[in-house]
Amino acid sequence: MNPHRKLLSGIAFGLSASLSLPAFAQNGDACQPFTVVSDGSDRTVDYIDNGAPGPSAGDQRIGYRSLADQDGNPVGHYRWIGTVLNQPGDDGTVGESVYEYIMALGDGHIGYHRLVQTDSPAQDTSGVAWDTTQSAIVTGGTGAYAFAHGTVTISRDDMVVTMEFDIACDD
Amino acid sequence: MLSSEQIGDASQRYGALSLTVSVDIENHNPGGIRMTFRQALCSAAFPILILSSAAASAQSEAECAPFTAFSNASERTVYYVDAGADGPGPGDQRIGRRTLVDGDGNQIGYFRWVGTVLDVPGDDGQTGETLFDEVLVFEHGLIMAQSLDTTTVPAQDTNQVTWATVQPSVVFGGTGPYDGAVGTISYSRDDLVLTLTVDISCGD
Repeated sequence: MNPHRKLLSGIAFGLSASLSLPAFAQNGDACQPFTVVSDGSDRTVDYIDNGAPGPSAGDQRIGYRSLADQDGNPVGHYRWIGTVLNQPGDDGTVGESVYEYIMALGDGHIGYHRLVQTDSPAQDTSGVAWDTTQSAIVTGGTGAYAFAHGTVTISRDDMVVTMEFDIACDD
Repeated sequence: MLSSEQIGDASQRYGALSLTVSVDIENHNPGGIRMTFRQALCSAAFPILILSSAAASAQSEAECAPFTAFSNASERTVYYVDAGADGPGPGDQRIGRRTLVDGDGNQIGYFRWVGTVLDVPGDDGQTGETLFDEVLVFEHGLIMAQSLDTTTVPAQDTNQVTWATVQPSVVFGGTGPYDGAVGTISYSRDDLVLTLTVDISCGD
């Protein structure tokens, strides 16, 4: 990315961003691979029963988790909307959902999408809706992450979710 | 996409402008019109631009480059969709449309969005968050974006814009001349006029 444009994007974001979040990278070079963790202690999930009453395609899981770096320092939060494509079946049919995420860090936002395959019913909001390590596509970013591209490897251990961002911001 | 009447109207306006303002305008870049016109007005090179642009021919290709567009609140519609449980709650949506104009007020396209409520702002001033999926529609192509915004305005109050401090949007793609677009859209609001600063490139 052109350094001048990157600077302008950073300034524009800084003027509009909330000051309540800490900057994730203090060295001004945030757009590089990094890892964040959510331990699940600060998490909400709402289940939205769209379309036909009861579990069905079109239902959504809307969620929030706070985020920390690998040392446990708060760095922001992320939000998601998971739309059910099909519910997992009693016959072992795998359920699929499309998840749209935006992660809000102190120095910018990062968007990413993924397909979740799961045996867990979407309406069970007490648990994580997926059970295997899966990848997401980074759709872009703002502020320090403007012009971001790459992938996210998302894994979990019980309620602890770890997200490894493999990103770059050159265009 | 734009209707044929809108396309024809916009093309005529762009065509007229392309003969009188600047080289950028021949690419039909709406932002280029605004920025180049401003720059030209402020520049000693303006007379040169006028002379050189007289020979420029109107082309039908837009350009994947930064530009600015504007929207007046009078050209805005918003619908509230009460999804899921009755009454305000997560999953409700605001579906909206705004007409986009260039710096001279000429229509260049429109802006559509679906804002899905993630949580409802509280009576105590606690902010709510909404995730927006956005499409900018121009004559030659689309630009897709998404954003996460905080608000203290209830989603069902469609007479108000919901965002207090709007965050930039993530541009994650486009079609036509915007194929492969990445970048950001920043927003600012001055009373009724919304300004969209689209900072994109297509990797070339």
